[in-house]
Amino acid sequence: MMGDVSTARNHILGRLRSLIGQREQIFRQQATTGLPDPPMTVFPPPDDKSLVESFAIKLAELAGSCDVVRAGEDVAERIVKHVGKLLPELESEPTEILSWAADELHVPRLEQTLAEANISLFVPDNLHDQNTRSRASVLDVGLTAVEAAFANTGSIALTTGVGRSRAAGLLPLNHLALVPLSRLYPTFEAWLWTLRQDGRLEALLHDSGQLAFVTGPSKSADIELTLTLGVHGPKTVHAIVFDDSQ
Amino acid sequence: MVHKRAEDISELFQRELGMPPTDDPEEMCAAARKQLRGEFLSAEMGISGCNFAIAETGTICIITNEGNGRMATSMPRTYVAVMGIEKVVPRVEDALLLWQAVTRSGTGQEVTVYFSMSSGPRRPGHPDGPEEMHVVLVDSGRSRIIERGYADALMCLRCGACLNFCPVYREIGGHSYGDTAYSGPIGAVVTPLLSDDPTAVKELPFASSLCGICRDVCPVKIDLPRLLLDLRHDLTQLGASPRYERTAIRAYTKAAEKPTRYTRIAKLVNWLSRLLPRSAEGDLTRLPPPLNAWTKARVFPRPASRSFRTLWNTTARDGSKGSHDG
Ligand code: SF4
Repeated sequence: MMGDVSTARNHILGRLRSLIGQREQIFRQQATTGLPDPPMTVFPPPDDKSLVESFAIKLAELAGSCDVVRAGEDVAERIVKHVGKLLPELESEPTEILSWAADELHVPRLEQTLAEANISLFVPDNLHDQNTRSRASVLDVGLTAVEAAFANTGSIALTTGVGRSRAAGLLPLNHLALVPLSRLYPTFEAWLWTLRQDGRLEALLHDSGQLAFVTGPSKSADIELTLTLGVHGPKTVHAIVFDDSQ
Repeated sequence: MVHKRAEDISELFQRELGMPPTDDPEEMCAAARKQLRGEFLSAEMGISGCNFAIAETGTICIITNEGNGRMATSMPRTYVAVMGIEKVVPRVEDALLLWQAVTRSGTGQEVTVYFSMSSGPRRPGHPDGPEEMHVVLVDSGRSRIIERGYADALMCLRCGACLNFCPVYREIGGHSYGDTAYSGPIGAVVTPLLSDDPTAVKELPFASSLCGICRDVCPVKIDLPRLLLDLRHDLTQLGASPRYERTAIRAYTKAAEKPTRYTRIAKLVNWLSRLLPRSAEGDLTRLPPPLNAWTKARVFPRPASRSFRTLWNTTARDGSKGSHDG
Protein backbone atom coordinates (compact mmCIF):
# COMPACT_ATOMS: atom_id res chain seq x y z
CA MET A 1 0.00 0.00 0.00
CA MET A 2 2.73 2.46 1.03
CA GLY A 3 4.65 1.46 -2.10
CA ASP A 4 1.69 2.34 -4.30
CA VAL A 5 1.29 5.73 -2.75
CA SER A 6 4.93 6.72 -3.17
CA THR A 7 5.07 5.39 -6.74
CA ALA A 8 2.02 7.45 -7.58
CA ARG A 9 3.54 10.45 -5.87
CA ASN A 10 6.82 10.16 -7.78
CA HIS A 11 4.91 9.73 -10.97
CA ILE A 12 2.80 12.85 -10.46
CA LEU A 13 5.70 14.97 -9.25
CA GLY A 14 7.82 13.73 -12.15
CA ARG A 15 5.13 14.77 -14.58
CA LEU A 16 4.85 18.22 -13.00
CA ARG A 17 8.63 18.65 -12.88
CA SER A 18 8.95 17.87 -16.54
CA LEU A 19 6.41 20.62 -17.22
CA ILE A 20 8.12 23.25 -15.09
CA GLY A 21 10.60 24.05 -17.84
CA GLN A 22 7.67 25.03 -20.03
CA ARG A 23 6.21 27.29 -17.44
CA GLU A 24 6.19 30.33 -19.68
CA GLN A 25 4.10 28.52 -22.23
CA ILE A 26 1.82 26.94 -19.65
CA PHE A 27 0.83 30.11 -17.85
CA ARG A 28 0.07 32.93 -20.20
CA GLN A 29 0.94 35.52 -17.63
CA GLN A 30 3.85 34.90 -15.39
CA ALA A 31 3.19 35.24 -11.69
CA THR A 32 4.56 38.49 -10.36
CA THR A 33 7.51 38.21 -8.08
CA GLY A 34 7.75 40.54 -5.10
CA LEU A 35 4.86 42.18 -3.31
CA PRO A 36 3.33 45.56 -4.02
CA ASP A 37 4.37 48.28 -1.61
CA PRO A 38 2.20 49.77 -0.15
CA PRO A 39 0.02 46.66 -0.01
CA MET A 40 -2.79 46.17 -2.49
CA THR A 41 -6.27 46.54 -0.98
CA VAL A 42 -9.40 44.80 -2.17
CA PHE A 43 -11.97 46.69 -0.11
CA PRO A 44 -10.53 49.94 1.27
CA PRO A 45 -12.25 51.54 4.30
CA PRO A 46 -13.98 54.86 3.58
CA ASP A 47 -11.74 57.94 3.86
CA ASP A 48 -14.24 60.09 5.70
CA LYS A 49 -14.60 57.80 8.73
CA SER A 50 -12.27 56.78 11.52
CA LEU A 51 -11.17 53.17 11.68
CA VAL A 52 -13.30 52.56 14.76
CA GLU A 53 -16.38 53.99 13.07
CA SER A 54 -15.84 51.91 9.93
CA PHE A 55 -15.33 48.78 11.98
CA ALA A 56 -18.47 49.37 14.02
CA ILE A 57 -20.62 50.15 10.98
CA LYS A 58 -19.38 47.13 9.09
CA LEU A 59 -19.89 44.76 11.98
CA ALA A 60 -23.42 46.07 12.50
CA GLU A 61 -24.22 45.48 8.81
CA LEU A 62 -23.22 41.86 9.32
CA ALA A 63 -25.54 41.36 12.30
CA GLY A 64 -22.73 41.81 14.81
CA SER A 65 -22.49 44.65 17.32
CA CYS A 66 -19.85 46.86 18.80
CA ASP A 67 -19.14 49.01 21.87
CA VAL A 68 -16.41 51.59 21.97
CA VAL A 69 -15.01 52.60 25.37
CA ARG A 70 -12.34 55.06 26.28
CA ALA A 71 -10.09 53.14 28.61
CA GLY A 72 -9.34 49.56 29.53
CA GLU A 73 -10.97 50.01 32.93
CA ASP A 74 -14.37 50.50 31.36
CA VAL A 75 -14.20 47.19 29.56
CA ALA A 76 -15.20 45.10 32.57
CA GLU A 77 -18.28 47.22 33.10
CA ARG A 78 -19.32 46.70 29.46
CA ILE A 79 -18.78 42.98 29.72
CA VAL A 80 -20.96 42.78 32.81
CA LYS A 81 -23.68 44.79 31.09
CA HIS A 82 -23.55 42.68 27.97
CA VAL A 83 -23.51 39.35 29.79
CA GLY A 84 -26.39 40.60 31.95
CA LYS A 85 -28.40 41.29 28.84
CA LEU A 86 -27.66 37.86 27.37
CA LEU A 87 -28.18 35.95 30.62
CA PRO A 88 -30.87 37.53 32.82
CA GLU A 89 -30.13 35.00 35.60
CA LEU A 90 -26.84 36.79 36.28
CA GLU A 91 -28.71 39.06 38.71
CA SER A 92 -29.27 36.25 41.13
CA GLU A 93 -26.65 33.58 40.58
CA PRO A 94 -22.94 33.38 39.75
CA THR A 95 -22.20 32.69 36.11
CA GLU A 96 -19.30 31.05 34.40
CA ILE A 97 -18.13 32.11 30.94
CA LEU A 98 -15.68 30.35 28.64
CA SER A 99 -12.64 32.55 28.30
CA TRP A 100 -9.06 33.08 27.27
CA ALA A 101 -6.63 33.37 30.16
CA ALA A 102 -6.90 36.73 31.94
CA ASP A 103 -3.39 37.82 30.91
CA GLU A 104 -4.32 37.24 27.25
CA LEU A 105 -7.19 39.72 27.44
CA HIS A 106 -5.01 42.83 27.79
CA VAL A 107 -7.23 44.46 30.39
CA PRO A 108 -5.78 45.07 33.87
CA ARG A 109 -7.70 43.68 36.86
CA LEU A 110 -10.42 42.33 34.62
CA GLU A 111 -10.85 39.04 36.42
CA GLN A 112 -11.32 40.67 39.84
CA THR A 113 -13.84 43.19 38.53
CA LEU A 114 -15.86 40.48 36.85
CA ALA A 115 -15.74 38.33 39.98
CA GLU A 116 -17.30 41.17 41.96
CA ALA A 117 -20.15 41.07 39.43
CA ASN A 118 -20.65 37.34 39.88
CA ILE A 119 -18.91 36.35 36.64
CA SER A 120 -16.13 33.82 36.72
CA LEU A 121 -13.85 32.81 33.87
CA PHE A 122 -13.46 29.20 32.85
CA VAL A 123 -10.12 28.92 31.06
CA PRO A 124 -9.74 25.40 29.66
CA ASP A 125 -6.24 23.99 29.43
CA ASN A 126 -7.02 20.82 27.50
CA LEU A 127 -10.26 20.42 25.60
CA HIS A 128 -9.45 16.86 24.61
CA ASP A 129 -10.12 15.99 28.23
CA GLN A 130 -13.74 14.80 28.40
CA ASN A 131 -14.69 16.66 31.59
CA THR A 132 -13.22 19.92 30.36
CA ARG A 133 -15.01 19.51 27.08
CA SER A 134 -18.38 18.84 28.69
CA ARG A 135 -17.99 21.79 31.03
CA ALA A 136 -16.96 24.11 28.19
CA SER A 137 -19.71 23.04 25.82
CA VAL A 138 -22.61 24.10 28.06
CA LEU A 139 -21.45 27.69 28.56
CA ASP A 140 -23.38 30.43 26.78
CA VAL A 141 -20.79 33.15 26.50
CA GLY A 142 -17.24 33.02 25.17
CA LEU A 143 -14.74 35.81 25.90
CA THR A 144 -11.60 36.39 23.82
CA ALA A 145 -9.26 39.16 22.76
CA VAL A 146 -8.11 39.36 19.14
CA GLU A 147 -4.83 39.11 17.28
CA ALA A 148 -6.00 41.90 15.03
CA ALA A 149 -9.21 43.55 13.79
CA PHE A 150 -10.00 45.09 10.41
CA ALA A 151 -11.98 48.23 9.79
CA ASN A 152 -12.82 47.62 6.14
CA THR A 153 -14.67 44.35 6.60
CA GLY A 154 -15.55 44.28 10.32
CA SER A 155 -13.47 41.14 10.75
CA ILE A 156 -11.30 39.95 13.61
CA ALA A 157 -8.33 37.57 13.55
CA LEU A 158 -8.09 34.92 16.28
CA THR A 159 -5.02 32.82 17.01
CA THR A 160 -4.67 29.72 19.15
CA GLY A 161 -2.04 29.63 21.87
CA VAL A 162 -1.33 28.81 25.51
CA GLY A 163 -4.34 30.27 27.34
CA ARG A 164 -6.06 31.06 24.04
CA SER A 165 -8.51 28.33 23.10
CA ARG A 166 -10.33 28.17 19.78
CA ALA A 167 -13.35 26.96 21.74
CA ALA A 168 -13.96 30.33 23.44
CA GLY A 169 -14.69 32.02 20.12
CA LEU A 170 -16.46 29.03 18.63
CA LEU A 171 -18.52 26.85 20.98
CA PRO A 172 -20.73 29.28 22.97
CA LEU A 173 -23.79 30.82 21.35
CA ASN A 174 -22.44 34.28 22.14
CA HIS A 175 -18.97 35.60 21.44
CA LEU A 176 -17.53 38.66 23.13
CA ALA A 177 -14.31 39.93 21.57
CA LEU A 178 -12.08 42.54 23.19
CA VAL A 179 -10.35 44.71 20.62
CA PRO A 180 -7.49 46.96 21.76
CA LEU A 181 -7.33 50.02 19.52
CA SER A 182 -3.67 49.33 18.77
CA ARG A 183 -4.70 46.15 17.00
CA LEU A 184 -7.26 47.72 14.71
CA TYR A 185 -5.95 47.89 11.13
CA PRO A 186 -7.60 49.40 8.07
CA THR A 187 -7.38 46.14 6.05
CA PHE A 188 -6.08 42.56 6.08
CA GLU A 189 -3.50 43.63 3.58
CA ALA A 190 -2.15 46.38 5.82
CA TRP A 191 -1.83 43.96 8.70
CA LEU A 192 -0.04 41.32 6.65
CA TRP A 193 2.28 43.97 5.35
CA THR A 194 3.20 45.00 8.90
CA LEU A 195 3.78 41.38 9.88
CA ARG A 196 6.02 40.88 6.84
CA GLN A 197 7.99 44.04 7.59
CA ASP A 198 8.60 42.83 11.13
CA GLY A 199 9.41 39.30 9.97
CA ARG A 200 6.65 37.88 12.18
CA LEU A 201 4.24 36.40 9.65
CA GLU A 202 5.61 32.91 9.37
CA ALA A 203 6.12 32.52 13.12
CA LEU A 204 2.58 33.72 13.79
CA LEU A 205 1.03 31.11 11.51
CA HIS A 206 3.31 28.37 12.71
CA ASP A 207 3.05 29.02 16.44
CA SER A 208 -0.71 29.32 16.48
CA GLY A 209 -1.56 26.13 14.61
CA GLN A 210 -4.68 27.90 13.38
CA LEU A 211 -5.29 31.50 12.50
CA ALA A 212 -8.95 32.25 11.87
CA PHE A 213 -10.58 35.33 10.42
CA VAL A 214 -14.08 35.80 11.80
CA THR A 215 -16.55 38.23 10.25
CA GLY A 216 -19.79 38.49 12.18
CA PRO A 217 -21.92 35.64 13.51
CA SER A 218 -22.08 32.17 11.95
CA LYS A 219 -24.75 32.11 9.26
CA SER A 220 -26.42 30.10 6.55
CA ALA A 221 -29.10 30.59 3.94
CA ASP A 222 -29.46 26.87 3.35
CA ILE A 223 -33.11 26.43 4.29
CA GLU A 224 -35.20 28.10 1.57
CA LEU A 225 -32.67 30.91 1.31
CA THR A 226 -33.76 32.34 4.68
CA LEU A 227 -30.81 33.77 6.54
CA THR A 228 -30.31 31.98 9.85
CA LEU A 229 -27.65 32.87 12.40
CA GLY A 230 -25.68 30.66 14.75
CA VAL A 231 -25.55 27.55 12.59
CA HIS A 232 -22.39 25.99 14.03
CA GLY A 233 -20.53 28.94 15.44
CA PRO A 234 -21.78 31.84 17.62
CA LYS A 235 -25.14 33.45 16.97
CA THR A 236 -24.07 36.80 18.34
CA VAL A 237 -20.70 38.48 18.01
CA HIS A 238 -20.11 41.57 20.11
CA ALA A 239 -16.87 43.53 19.97
CA ILE A 240 -15.68 45.90 22.66
CA VAL A 241 -13.11 48.29 21.24
CA PHE A 242 -11.04 50.07 23.89
CA ASP A 243 -8.19 52.52 23.97
CA ASP A 244 -5.07 50.74 25.21
CA SER A 245 -2.65 53.60 24.57
CA GLN A 246 -1.99 54.36 28.24
CA MET B 1 -29.84 21.46 1.52
CA VAL B 2 -30.56 24.32 -0.84
CA HIS B 3 -32.56 22.07 -3.13
CA LYS B 4 -34.97 20.88 -0.41
CA ARG B 5 -38.10 22.69 0.67
CA ALA B 6 -38.64 23.71 4.27
CA GLU B 7 -41.40 21.11 4.70
CA ASP B 8 -39.12 18.37 3.45
CA ILE B 9 -36.45 19.33 5.91
CA SER B 10 -38.96 19.56 8.73
CA GLU B 11 -40.22 16.09 7.87
CA LEU B 12 -36.67 14.76 7.82
CA PHE B 13 -35.99 16.30 11.21
CA GLN B 14 -39.20 14.86 12.66
CA ARG B 15 -38.20 11.43 11.49
CA GLU B 16 -34.49 11.52 12.35
CA LEU B 17 -34.36 13.84 15.34
CA GLY B 18 -37.85 13.41 16.79
CA MET B 19 -38.45 17.12 16.43
CA PRO B 20 -41.99 18.60 16.48
CA PRO B 21 -43.20 19.83 13.04
CA THR B 22 -42.26 23.42 12.15
CA ASP B 23 -41.70 25.57 9.10
CA ASP B 24 -39.49 28.05 10.87
CA PRO B 25 -35.97 27.87 9.45
CA GLU B 26 -34.66 29.37 12.68
CA GLU B 27 -36.03 26.48 14.75
CA MET B 28 -34.80 23.88 12.30
CA CYS B 29 -31.41 25.47 12.30
CA ALA B 30 -31.27 25.34 16.09
CA ALA B 31 -32.19 21.65 16.01
CA ALA B 32 -29.50 20.94 13.45
CA ARG B 33 -26.98 22.86 15.51
CA LYS B 34 -27.77 20.87 18.61
CA GLN B 35 -27.58 17.53 16.83
CA LEU B 36 -24.43 18.29 14.86
CA ARG B 37 -22.76 19.90 17.85
CA GLY B 38 -22.85 16.57 19.63
CA GLU B 39 -21.33 14.89 16.61
CA PHE B 40 -18.59 17.50 16.25
CA LEU B 41 -17.66 17.18 19.91
CA SER B 42 -17.49 13.39 19.87
CA ALA B 43 -16.03 12.77 16.39
CA GLU B 44 -12.57 11.23 16.37
CA MET B 45 -11.67 12.66 13.01
CA GLY B 46 -12.53 15.79 11.07
CA ILE B 47 -12.22 15.79 7.29
CA SER B 48 -12.34 18.89 5.13
CA GLY B 49 -11.61 20.01 1.61
CA CYS B 50 -9.27 22.86 0.97
CA ASN B 51 -9.78 26.21 -0.72
CA PHE B 52 -6.15 27.28 -0.79
CA ALA B 53 -2.89 25.75 0.36
CA ILE B 54 -0.09 28.21 1.03
CA ALA B 55 3.32 27.00 -0.14
CA GLU B 56 5.53 29.32 1.91
CA THR B 57 4.03 28.35 5.25
CA GLY B 58 2.43 24.93 4.67
CA THR B 59 -1.03 26.26 5.52
CA ILE B 60 -4.44 24.82 4.60
CA CYS B 61 -7.20 27.42 4.21
CA ILE B 62 -10.91 26.73 4.43
CA ILE B 63 -13.80 29.06 3.76
CA THR B 64 -17.21 28.68 5.42
CA ASN B 65 -20.11 30.80 6.57
CA GLU B 66 -21.61 28.30 8.98
CA GLY B 67 -18.54 27.47 11.03
CA ASN B 68 -18.47 23.75 10.21
CA GLY B 69 -14.97 24.25 8.82
CA ARG B 70 -13.68 25.68 12.08
CA MET B 71 -15.35 22.89 14.04
CA ALA B 72 -13.94 20.09 11.89
CA THR B 73 -10.44 21.57 11.98
CA SER B 74 -10.47 22.30 15.71
CA MET B 75 -12.43 19.80 17.76
CA PRO B 76 -11.59 16.21 16.68
CA ARG B 77 -8.24 14.67 17.62
CA THR B 78 -7.31 14.02 14.01
CA TYR B 79 -7.77 16.42 11.14
CA VAL B 80 -7.49 15.34 7.50
CA ALA B 81 -7.56 17.83 4.63
CA VAL B 82 -8.15 16.57 1.10
CA MET B 83 -7.00 18.91 -1.64
CA GLY B 84 -6.50 18.97 -5.39
CA ILE B 85 -2.90 19.78 -6.29
CA GLU B 86 -4.00 22.94 -8.06
CA LYS B 87 -5.00 24.60 -4.79
CA VAL B 88 -1.45 25.65 -3.94
CA VAL B 89 -0.70 29.37 -3.94
CA PRO B 90 2.73 30.87 -3.29
CA ARG B 91 2.14 33.28 -0.42
CA VAL B 92 -0.20 34.22 2.40
CA GLU B 93 -1.13 37.43 0.57
CA ASP B 94 -2.27 35.40 -2.45
CA ALA B 95 -4.62 33.28 -0.35
CA LEU B 96 -6.17 36.37 1.26
CA LEU B 97 -6.65 38.05 -2.11
CA LEU B 98 -8.23 34.99 -3.71
CA TRP B 99 -10.47 34.49 -0.69
CA GLN B 100 -11.94 37.95 -1.21
CA ALA B 101 -12.22 37.29 -4.95
CA VAL B 102 -14.01 33.96 -4.63
CA THR B 103 -16.41 35.28 -2.00
CA ARG B 104 -17.31 38.34 -3.98
CA SER B 105 -17.95 36.34 -7.14
CA GLY B 106 -19.61 33.42 -5.40
CA THR B 107 -22.07 34.92 -2.94
CA GLY B 108 -21.66 38.68 -3.27
CA GLN B 109 -20.34 39.06 0.28
CA GLU B 110 -17.05 40.88 0.77
CA VAL B 111 -15.65 38.03 2.84
CA THR B 112 -17.09 34.82 4.23
CA VAL B 113 -17.79 34.61 7.97
CA TYR B 114 -14.91 32.21 8.58
CA PHE B 115 -11.53 31.83 6.97
CA SER B 116 -9.54 29.20 8.85
CA MET B 117 -5.84 28.78 8.21
CA SER B 118 -4.40 25.61 9.71
CA SER B 119 -0.64 25.22 9.72
CA GLY B 120 -0.29 21.94 11.57
CA PRO B 121 -1.47 20.14 14.69
CA ARG B 122 -1.82 21.88 18.03
CA ARG B 123 1.38 23.06 19.67
CA PRO B 124 2.53 22.04 23.15
CA GLY B 125 0.43 23.72 25.83
CA HIS B 126 -2.39 24.75 23.48
CA PRO B 127 -5.83 24.07 24.94
CA ASP B 128 -7.32 22.74 21.68
CA GLY B 129 -6.72 21.85 18.07
CA PRO B 130 -6.13 18.43 16.49
CA GLU B 131 -3.31 16.25 17.75
CA GLU B 132 -2.58 15.04 14.25
CA MET B 133 -3.05 16.74 10.93
CA HIS B 134 -2.78 15.01 7.57
CA VAL B 135 -3.05 16.42 4.09
CA VAL B 136 -4.03 14.27 1.12
CA LEU B 137 -3.01 15.73 -2.21
CA VAL B 138 -5.12 14.52 -5.08
CA ASP B 139 -3.92 14.61 -8.67
CA SER B 140 -6.69 12.59 -10.34
CA GLY B 141 -6.03 13.86 -13.86
CA ARG B 142 -4.98 17.38 -12.95
CA SER B 143 -1.34 17.08 -13.98
CA ARG B 144 -2.62 15.66 -17.24
CA ILE B 145 -4.68 18.82 -17.77
CA ILE B 146 -1.46 20.79 -17.56
CA GLU B 147 0.22 18.34 -19.90
CA ARG B 148 -2.60 18.75 -22.41
CA GLY B 149 -2.01 22.49 -22.41
CA TYR B 150 -4.98 23.63 -20.35
CA ALA B 151 -3.26 24.77 -17.15
CA ASP B 152 -5.39 27.93 -17.15
CA ALA B 153 -8.47 25.86 -16.32
CA LEU B 154 -6.84 24.84 -13.03
CA MET B 155 -6.81 28.42 -11.83
CA CYS B 156 -10.55 28.03 -11.24
CA LEU B 157 -11.62 29.04 -7.73
CA ARG B 158 -14.96 27.25 -7.99
CA CYS B 159 -16.85 30.46 -7.32
CA GLY B 160 -19.70 29.50 -9.63
CA ALA B 161 -20.03 32.91 -11.29
CA CYS B 162 -19.61 31.52 -14.80
CA LEU B 163 -22.38 28.98 -14.14
CA ASN B 164 -24.83 31.54 -12.86
CA PHE B 165 -24.35 33.80 -15.83
CA CYS B 166 -24.16 31.13 -18.56
CA PRO B 167 -27.32 31.12 -20.74
CA VAL B 168 -26.73 27.48 -21.67
CA TYR B 169 -26.28 26.34 -18.08
CA ARG B 170 -29.39 28.19 -17.00
CA GLU B 171 -31.37 26.23 -19.58
CA ILE B 172 -29.96 22.75 -19.13
CA GLY B 173 -28.87 22.67 -15.48
CA GLY B 174 -26.02 20.90 -13.76
CA HIS B 175 -26.72 17.25 -14.48
CA SER B 176 -25.71 17.49 -18.13
CA TYR B 177 -22.07 17.97 -17.28
CA GLY B 178 -21.29 14.41 -16.24
CA ASP B 179 -20.29 13.30 -12.79
CA THR B 180 -17.33 15.58 -12.16
CA ALA B 181 -17.84 18.27 -9.59
CA TYR B 182 -17.54 20.97 -12.25
CA SER B 183 -20.47 22.11 -14.36
CA GLY B 184 -21.35 25.12 -16.47
CA PRO B 185 -18.72 26.66 -18.76
CA ILE B 186 -15.80 25.55 -16.59
CA GLY B 187 -17.33 22.05 -16.49
CA ALA B 188 -17.52 21.98 -20.29
CA VAL B 189 -13.76 22.51 -20.27
CA VAL B 190 -12.72 20.37 -17.32
CA THR B 191 -15.00 17.35 -17.75
CA PRO B 192 -13.51 16.22 -21.11
CA LEU B 193 -10.01 17.00 -19.83
CA LEU B 194 -10.46 14.89 -16.73
CA SER B 195 -11.92 11.94 -18.54
CA ASP B 196 -9.72 9.14 -19.85
CA ASP B 197 -11.37 9.38 -23.22
CA PRO B 198 -12.21 13.01 -23.98
CA THR B 199 -14.16 11.99 -27.09
CA ALA B 200 -16.67 10.25 -24.82
CA VAL B 201 -17.95 13.67 -23.67
CA LYS B 202 -17.20 15.49 -26.89
CA GLU B 203 -20.51 17.36 -27.01
CA LEU B 204 -19.75 19.54 -23.99
CA PRO B 205 -17.26 22.01 -25.55
CA PHE B 206 -19.67 22.44 -28.46
CA ALA B 207 -22.66 23.23 -26.26
CA SER B 208 -21.80 26.91 -26.08
CA SER B 209 -22.62 29.98 -28.10
CA LEU B 210 -19.23 31.44 -27.08
CA CYS B 211 -21.03 34.57 -25.91
CA GLY B 212 -18.13 35.21 -23.55
CA ILE B 213 -19.98 36.29 -20.43
CA CYS B 214 -18.20 33.54 -18.47
CA ARG B 215 -14.87 35.14 -19.22
CA ASP B 216 -16.16 38.55 -18.25
CA VAL B 217 -17.43 37.46 -14.83
CA CYS B 218 -14.57 35.09 -13.94
CA PRO B 219 -12.62 36.62 -11.04
CA VAL B 220 -9.37 35.02 -12.22
CA LYS B 221 -10.05 35.86 -15.87
CA ILE B 222 -9.92 32.37 -17.26
CA ASP B 223 -10.50 32.73 -21.00
CA LEU B 224 -13.16 30.04 -21.17
CA PRO B 225 -14.34 30.70 -24.76
CA ARG B 226 -10.71 30.40 -25.91
CA LEU B 227 -10.31 27.10 -24.04
CA LEU B 228 -13.58 25.82 -25.51
CA LEU B 229 -12.37 26.63 -29.01
CA ASP B 230 -9.01 24.96 -28.32
CA LEU B 231 -10.86 21.89 -27.08
CA ARG B 232 -13.10 21.79 -30.14
CA HIS B 233 -9.95 21.91 -32.23
CA ASP B 234 -8.25 19.14 -30.25
CA LEU B 235 -11.35 16.97 -30.33
CA THR B 236 -11.63 17.35 -34.09
CA GLN B 237 -7.98 16.37 -34.37
CA LEU B 238 -8.81 13.28 -32.37
CA GLY B 239 -11.46 12.46 -34.94
CA ALA B 240 -14.38 13.16 -32.65
CA SER B 241 -16.46 15.02 -35.23
CA PRO B 242 -19.13 13.05 -37.16
CA ARG B 243 -18.25 11.66 -40.59
CA TYR B 244 -20.77 13.77 -42.55
CA GLU B 245 -19.31 16.93 -40.99
CA ARG B 246 -15.81 15.97 -42.09
CA THR B 247 -17.03 15.16 -45.58
CA ALA B 248 -18.91 18.45 -45.77
CA ILE B 249 -15.89 20.47 -44.67
CA ARG B 250 -13.72 18.66 -47.21
CA ALA B 251 -16.24 19.37 -49.95
CA TYR B 252 -16.42 23.02 -48.93
CA THR B 253 -12.62 23.30 -48.99
CA LYS B 254 -12.62 21.94 -52.55
CA ALA B 255 -15.40 24.29 -53.63
CA ALA B 256 -13.81 27.37 -52.09
CA GLU B 257 -10.46 26.79 -53.77
CA LYS B 258 -11.48 28.53 -57.03
CA PRO B 259 -13.84 31.57 -57.21
CA THR B 260 -15.45 30.36 -60.44
CA ARG B 261 -16.09 26.94 -59.01
CA TYR B 262 -17.50 28.47 -55.85
CA THR B 263 -19.85 30.80 -57.73
CA ARG B 264 -21.13 28.03 -59.91
CA ILE B 265 -21.80 25.68 -57.00
CA ALA B 266 -23.45 28.45 -54.98
CA LYS B 267 -25.80 29.20 -57.86
CA LEU B 268 -26.62 25.53 -58.19
CA VAL B 269 -27.39 25.19 -54.47
CA ASN B 270 -29.53 28.32 -54.53
CA TRP B 271 -31.47 26.97 -57.51
CA LEU B 272 -31.88 23.54 -55.88
CA SER B 273 -33.19 25.12 -52.68
CA ARG B 274 -36.16 26.47 -54.65
CA LEU B 275 -37.34 22.91 -55.02
CA LEU B 276 -37.58 22.48 -51.26
CA PRO B 277 -40.80 22.96 -49.25
CA ARG B 278 -41.17 26.41 -47.72
CA SER B 279 -43.14 28.11 -45.01
CA ALA B 280 -45.43 31.07 -45.66
CA GLU B 281 -42.51 33.41 -44.95
CA GLY B 282 -40.41 31.58 -47.48
CA ASP B 283 -38.13 29.81 -44.94
CA LEU B 284 -37.11 26.22 -45.63
CA THR B 285 -39.13 23.73 -43.61
CA ARG B 286 -37.54 20.49 -44.70
CA LEU B 287 -33.92 19.80 -45.64
CA PRO B 288 -32.52 16.51 -46.96
CA PRO B 289 -30.51 14.30 -44.54
CA PRO B 290 -28.26 14.81 -42.65
CA LEU B 291 -29.38 18.46 -42.55
CA ASN B 292 -32.90 17.41 -41.60
CA ALA B 293 -31.68 17.28 -37.97
CA TRP B 294 -31.98 21.05 -38.11
CA THR B 295 -35.40 21.30 -39.74
CA LYS B 296 -36.89 18.71 -37.40
CA ALA B 297 -37.01 21.34 -34.67
CA ARG B 298 -37.00 24.68 -36.53
CA VAL B 299 -37.03 26.30 -39.94
CA PHE B 300 -33.92 27.14 -41.90
CA PRO B 301 -33.70 30.81 -42.95
CA ARG B 302 -34.42 31.28 -46.64
CA PRO B 303 -31.42 31.99 -48.86
CA ALA B 304 -31.02 35.63 -49.87
CA SER B 305 -32.35 36.43 -53.30
CA ARG B 306 -29.04 37.93 -54.32
CA SER B 307 -25.81 36.34 -53.14
CA PHE B 308 -23.10 38.24 -51.31
CA ARG B 309 -20.84 37.98 -54.34
CA THR B 310 -23.44 39.51 -56.63
CA LEU B 311 -23.98 42.36 -54.19
CA TRP B 312 -20.27 42.86 -53.80
CA ASN B 313 -19.72 43.04 -57.51
CA THR B 314 -22.52 45.57 -57.94
CA THR B 315 -21.16 47.70 -55.09
CA ALA B 316 -17.63 47.49 -56.46
CA ARG B 317 -18.87 48.74 -59.82
CA ASP B 318 -20.78 51.62 -58.22
CA GLY B 319 -18.05 52.15 -55.61
CA SER B 320 -17.27 55.67 -56.80
CA LYS B 321 -20.74 56.78 -55.63
CA GLY B 322 -19.44 56.42 -52.05
CA SER B 323 -21.61 53.64 -50.76
CA HIS B 324 -18.85 52.77 -48.25
CA ASP B 325 -19.23 55.51 -45.70
CA GLY B 326 -16.09 55.44 -43.59
S1 SF4 C 1 -14.04 29.42 -14.13
FE1 SF4 C 1 -13.90 31.42 -13.14
S2 SF4 C 1 -16.05 32.08 -12.92
FE2 SF4 C 1 -16.11 29.86 -13.35
S3 SF4 C 1 -16.17 28.90 -11.32
FE3 SF4 C 1 -14.01 29.00 -11.96
S4 SF4 C 1 -13.25 30.91 -11.05
FE4 SF4 C 1 -15.49 31.03 -11.01
